[in-house]
Amino acid sequence: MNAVRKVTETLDPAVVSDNPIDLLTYQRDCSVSPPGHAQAMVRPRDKDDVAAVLREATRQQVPVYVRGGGTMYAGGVNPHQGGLVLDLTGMNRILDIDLARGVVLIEPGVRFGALTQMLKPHGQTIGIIPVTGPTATIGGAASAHALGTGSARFQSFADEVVGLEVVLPSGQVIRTGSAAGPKAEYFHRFGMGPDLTGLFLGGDATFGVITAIALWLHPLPKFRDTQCYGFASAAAAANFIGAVQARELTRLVWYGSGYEAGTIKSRVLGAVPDTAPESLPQFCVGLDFGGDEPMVRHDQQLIATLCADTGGRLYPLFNESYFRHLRNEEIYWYGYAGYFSRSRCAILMSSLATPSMPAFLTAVAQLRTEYPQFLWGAAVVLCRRGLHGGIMAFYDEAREWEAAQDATQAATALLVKAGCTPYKTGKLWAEQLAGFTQYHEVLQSLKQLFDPQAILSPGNLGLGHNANLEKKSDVL
Amino acid sequence: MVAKACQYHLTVTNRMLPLISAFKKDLYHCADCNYCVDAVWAERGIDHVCATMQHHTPLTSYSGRGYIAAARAWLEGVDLDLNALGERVFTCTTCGNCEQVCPIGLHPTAVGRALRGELWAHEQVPAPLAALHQDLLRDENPNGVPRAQRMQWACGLPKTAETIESVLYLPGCAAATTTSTEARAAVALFTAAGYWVNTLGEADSCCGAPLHELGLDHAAARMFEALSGKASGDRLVVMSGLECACSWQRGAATRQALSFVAWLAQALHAGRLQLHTTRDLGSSIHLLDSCQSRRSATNSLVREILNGVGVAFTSSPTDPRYVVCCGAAGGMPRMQPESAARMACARISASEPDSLWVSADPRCVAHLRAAMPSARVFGLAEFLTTYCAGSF
Repeated sequence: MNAVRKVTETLDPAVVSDNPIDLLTYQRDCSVSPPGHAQAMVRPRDKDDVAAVLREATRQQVPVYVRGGGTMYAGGVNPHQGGLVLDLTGMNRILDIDLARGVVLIEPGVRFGALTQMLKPHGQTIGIIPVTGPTATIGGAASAHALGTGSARFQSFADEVVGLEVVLPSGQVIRTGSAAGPKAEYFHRFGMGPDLTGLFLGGDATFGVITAIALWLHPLPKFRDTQCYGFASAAAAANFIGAVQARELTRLVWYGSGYEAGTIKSRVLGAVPDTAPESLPQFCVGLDFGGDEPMVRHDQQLIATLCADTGGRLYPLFNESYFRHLRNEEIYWYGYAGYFSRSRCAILMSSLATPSMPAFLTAVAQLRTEYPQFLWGAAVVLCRRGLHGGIMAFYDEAREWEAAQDATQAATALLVKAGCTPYKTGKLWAEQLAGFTQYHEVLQSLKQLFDPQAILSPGNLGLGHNANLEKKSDVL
Repeated sequence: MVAKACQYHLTVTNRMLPLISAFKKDLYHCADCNYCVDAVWAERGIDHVCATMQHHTPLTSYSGRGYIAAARAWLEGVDLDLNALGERVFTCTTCGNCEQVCPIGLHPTAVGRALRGELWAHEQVPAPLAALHQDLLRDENPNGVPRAQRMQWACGLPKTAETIESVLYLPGCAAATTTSTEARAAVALFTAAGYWVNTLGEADSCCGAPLHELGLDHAAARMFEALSGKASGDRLVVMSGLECACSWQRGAATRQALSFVAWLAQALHAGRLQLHTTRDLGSSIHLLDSCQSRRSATNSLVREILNGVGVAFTSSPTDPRYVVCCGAAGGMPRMQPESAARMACARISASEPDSLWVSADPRCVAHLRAAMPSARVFGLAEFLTTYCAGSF
């Protein structure tokens, strides 16, 4: 009996499949990363199933790739070393909505669309909803440290997590934050020693498998409105964003993003063809406000003043032709990327300080020069402090897939040189992350401690490459 | 063959799969976003997309994305277990929600149908559907009712008065063989509107819609041509089956043919029929949209009709663009009868337990009644003739 079968034989056959047709949909995520080929898929029902898989996989040295919605674009779930895919979408219960504590407790396979719909009747929502849309799972977002709607207000997904339940590769189950207390629930994250919760957020399932997540609840905003601001240069826009962030005027901004000249031109001229091209700004910032109307109006006025002070102007044309529609229809990445895609879109995300935005865009310009065969796009997403920069290369998957991978790898190197850091690391950023020497050495030590056989998501974060394990996979 | 074999199968072979090849754009554009698998998207009124994922299996190989992945792998030269593939693609209800929700406008349902076509060519069709095919060829209906009994629905109906205006009424297989009360009620409404009702009598036959759902497009077209040839002349053709209406849309877009729903809406609008509720309904009315009514663009018409006659009703889903199948369509009833029944029960259970359910699709009515005999499910015509005043 092969090692994978030994892992799955103790499980209910209803949660296991090794049919190659079923495994076709577990080869990859939305990224340009190479797909992998697992030998089996397990769809656990609860943490006990997860623990059983991890215990035996550790014993048998079988790689385990943890998968949620599979909507990430970093290759983290692609089973490059074969083995098992642990599909957590079956663990999709909302365990508790506690309005008194202001916490919702969910299993990792709950999708954002389902959760927000469930919270709506309570007048509640959660802080961060990733732009990967309604099919992304909470577990995936926690593992990959998502951002999106809410980032400008709350910063990042990790900031919104109260605590976790995690199954370690040994099969041991831990609860983090205040719920570590034998009689306590999830109501506080810090203060009991180091923040163990943080180890698993953005950990790309390399140290453990998240089996429950407690998130802060927030009241649904009563009023929403979008506004756009145009600037003659990216540098002026960066000054504006920095000023807004420094004065904490992102407090009612549920989504904020910045767009290059190419996007502005295509959107505005597409909607209003007789617009004079020379009147178009070189950079636009769109802000989606939510809250009580008088407070929103108050902040909008202050932000409009900052815009004028930094050389910009209110630019309703971009709002009407694109941004307002984008936000109100809740069109997600795939939707608007698809409008002008050649085939697929290789997306690379990085984090940067707001003043580094011009450097980020210079790196994008260099990519356009060096890889002219691709249509490149770039945008930034505002956080409470700092930015996330997204680069998109639209490619024809039938012809350009390998070249798109090369270009993406080149992009990671360029961005690191420009002072950006990896975000949504998966395997796309692994090479660069491994170059962060001391930091990466500590990560490797932690990996050895938690997952000595390196079975969990090998390759993610540049961790867990186990030659023995790879050799073993070859003969499975 | 694992581990290092990370390369995707990007070398497109010359494998002779012409039906799949026609969808290359879809195969290479799919971004694996999973909207077609399980999206809940409140802003667009979507509360889950795929009935198969909800009520049969969560395996994504049974979803639109699964069909695209399988089609691509097959085209690229991967040797697939065609038996297993057949089990998956022939289970689909072909409701088309996955195409509605796809953010970049791909056609997963059509890819699934193309896979079905290829599997027929490779003689890899699951036994229940091969049997359905035989039934269709033998009986000219998918319900196993002998051809000779097709017109039994009309037994005892009084001959309608001959007037200048006439309709050629094609009830469709479901209304003719399993929901005869709906066909008879439709005749009553035609008559009340002053139409002389003709049928094809013993010559009435299937329009080919079930063959289309099975992926046999050419055979479906031939069956449609045979029926439409019999329906020659200038007469207005009206059909109760909404899948039949889709066949007519595909096959004879220029021909004067209407779904019964569209005809009824026109008749009410023109004042040829005066209907209003007279009886105390005593329970809430719940309209069940069908995937075929979305396809035949009749969902909004049904609402207009019910509103026009003064019926207060709720509906599911709230947004008729996204209709989760009740299990009556595609290969589901034959391939997975238990799951098909679960789908029907789920649709009914989504509303008040003592509701009165109305569907404009006779195939759904038959399926819902069979799955939950205790539920009071009415076809649209049957509902109107039961609860509205008029000379029926």
